[in-house]
Amino acid sequence: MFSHILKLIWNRKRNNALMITEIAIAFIVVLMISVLAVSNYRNYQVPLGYEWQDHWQISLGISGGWSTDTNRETLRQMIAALKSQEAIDSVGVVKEPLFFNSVWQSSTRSDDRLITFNANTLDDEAFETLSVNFLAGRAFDERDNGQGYRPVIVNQLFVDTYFSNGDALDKLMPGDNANGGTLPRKIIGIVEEFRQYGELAKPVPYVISRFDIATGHQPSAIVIKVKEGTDINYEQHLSTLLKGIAPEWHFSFVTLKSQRSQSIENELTPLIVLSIVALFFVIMVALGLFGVLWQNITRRTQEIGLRRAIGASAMSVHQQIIGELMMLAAFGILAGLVLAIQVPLLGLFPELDWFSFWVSFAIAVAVILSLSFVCALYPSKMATRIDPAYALHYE
Amino acid sequence: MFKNYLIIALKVFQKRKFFTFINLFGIVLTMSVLVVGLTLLENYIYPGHAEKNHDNMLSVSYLRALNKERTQSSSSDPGYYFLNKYVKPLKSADKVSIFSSPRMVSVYLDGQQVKSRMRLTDADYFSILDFNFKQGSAYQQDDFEQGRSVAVINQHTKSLLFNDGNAIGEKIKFDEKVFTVVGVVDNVSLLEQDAYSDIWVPYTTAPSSSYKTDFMGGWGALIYVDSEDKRQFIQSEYINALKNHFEPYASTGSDTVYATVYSTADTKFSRLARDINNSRTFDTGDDQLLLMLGLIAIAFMLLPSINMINLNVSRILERSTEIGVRKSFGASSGHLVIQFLIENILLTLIGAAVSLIISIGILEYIEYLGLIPYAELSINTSVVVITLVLSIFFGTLSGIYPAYRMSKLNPVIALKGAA
Repeated sequence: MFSHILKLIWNRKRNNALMITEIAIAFIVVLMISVLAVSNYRNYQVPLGYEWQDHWQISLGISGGWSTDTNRETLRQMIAALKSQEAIDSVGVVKEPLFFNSVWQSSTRSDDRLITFNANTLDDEAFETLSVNFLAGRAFDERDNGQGYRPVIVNQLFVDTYFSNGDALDKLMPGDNANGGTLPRKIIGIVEEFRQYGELAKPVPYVISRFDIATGHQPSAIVIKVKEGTDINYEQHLSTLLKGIAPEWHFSFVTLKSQRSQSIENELTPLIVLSIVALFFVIMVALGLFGVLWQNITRRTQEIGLRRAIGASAMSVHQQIIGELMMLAAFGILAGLVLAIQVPLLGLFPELDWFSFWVSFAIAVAVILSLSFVCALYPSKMATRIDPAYALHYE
Repeated sequence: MFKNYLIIALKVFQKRKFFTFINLFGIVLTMSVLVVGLTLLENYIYPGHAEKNHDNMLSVSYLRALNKERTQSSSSDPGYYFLNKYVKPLKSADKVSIFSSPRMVSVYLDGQQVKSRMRLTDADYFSILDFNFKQGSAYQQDDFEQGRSVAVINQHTKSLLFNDGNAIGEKIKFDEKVFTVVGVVDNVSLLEQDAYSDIWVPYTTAPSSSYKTDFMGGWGALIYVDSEDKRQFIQSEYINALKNHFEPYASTGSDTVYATVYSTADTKFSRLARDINNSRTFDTGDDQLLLMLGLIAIAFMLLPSINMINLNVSRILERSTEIGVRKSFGASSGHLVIQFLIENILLTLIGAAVSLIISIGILEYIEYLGLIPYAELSINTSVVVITLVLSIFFGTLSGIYPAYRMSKLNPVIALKGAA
């Protein structure tokens, strides 16, 4: 049966080549959308690593350059003032803000291999403020003062990526020359995750160093945890308070809750637009396949009539028509795969891993095959209705 | 003859309605997406509102600085210090305005709170950009020089804070400072990047003048020239100044000394090109962007074209008797190719017309969802013309092969009506 169908396809190769091209392109379109959907879904499944429900983020517009001692002193006063507020549970300082696409990448060379990661600095209290989930070790505290190392906290993905034996706690990494001198970095804690860019971003190896007001880089935000039921009107009070301490700075307030939904919306909107366009494309291809098949059946009346006349059952004609289209679809998928597999092979799209690729591949194959099946159903039924006597009479 | 072709085409469309529908579905889908994309692009490149004099404007929005060894580089929007030193003094410029990028502020008024974007500008900003004032007017050079706390707000902010009433002379408070509203302008869309904001105030009202030493970040400039032809001159004057007269700048708070800078005075299109190509030198990559847009449009038409080719090839025999008769009476293949091509182009043109109507709906829906803040998207003549040209191209692309196959049908077989 297989070789029979192959022969039939080969005999009409010119027209079938067009069909295969069309299916191949449709397959690539579906594959692309599934890759996006699958990788976003997988990212969404990874825990965020911190809490956002009752948190506010105050972005700091620091005037006159961070490095002046007055500005460092101002920040110190602000933290103290915020801590003394009734409605505020806890206050932390971050260098890179949460749920923003503000990326700080860094790398270091250790034992002759390149370790690259995304970085941030947090102060001692920020871990408590954000209820960061520790798997091992501890947050920064006084024990790290004046030591012969710079403490860092890494995420589990960092450990999995760069420590083959899984044992990273208390290990040393070389320091970076840019700041903190050449002191080696010591891993004092491992957190489950710290997904600064939100739930839909790809998890990355992440290293958090300790923020110290006296020497640290310019921080971009203060994160506070407020008591439940604190409403947005409290913002005006905080604004007055902070402006009182630093009249020359400016502040913008946002709840992590709204910042989070904003960042999810920003990620999803283009995806939704793409998916709608792709959906219509798929409908168009389905209608096209259906039309071509229908047309072909009317043309192949004689051939099918002859088969019926020499004893083929309605069922086997049915199978032939569906089998032919499925075979074409399989060729189309194969051609599409040959093209699409270049993307992960050549690493054109670093966000894409093999697992997501094969899962999306399975989804796209299922979509294209079931689509072809549905498109072939009615035309094949039509073919079975052909009356052999009439068909042989055709001319 | 042409008229006959059209009559035959319409007859054919009516005869097999299902197939006409399938073809139209693909055409309308493709053309609608292209029209929406084109309209967004058109509204960005040829803004019709505050930036309507874009032909006389150039915008400086990018700065990349490197140290002497080229080991450290940093890029972002420029800072006030840089713009004031290198853009403001440009000789051939007729007006130069320096302004900040918008940032979010919370405006408080009688217990309500509104989140708005706020921009710091000079007074020339309002003479270069053509805002449509609903009430009051812009702040003047004098207000700017005296550092008076005055503000221009947009219609949206006004209706949130003051409903339908008069806003002129009312006080609003943000950043712990009280501003008097002097003007209300129509909302300006995000696509007009240099004009877009909710509130505008003079930068002389800033609580500290530390912005004057910022080399990088947070500011932009607009250059205005009387005649379009002077734009190219300004562009090269600016690049020349940066190449030959840039004084090394030691950034505060780090030991980096910037020795080389890259920045350009851009038209709307070259600014888009820089953003999309991620260009980092004096070349914004306009040609690459044009090429890319063309390739995207063609790639996008590929699947629908193949779909139509498929369908039309499978329908050749439908017309076999007609082709047979015409051929036996002496019609050449060329005649037939042209006839079928015209048929196909007619169908894509009908599809294009339908998609223009559908696109109006889609664009209104985009406005309704607020995907692009304050955008008022309209399809104008140039989009219609490009759409028609594209649909003729699309009709030819998808029609030429089936037409060729049809015209090659052997008249004897064609007359018999068998494959």
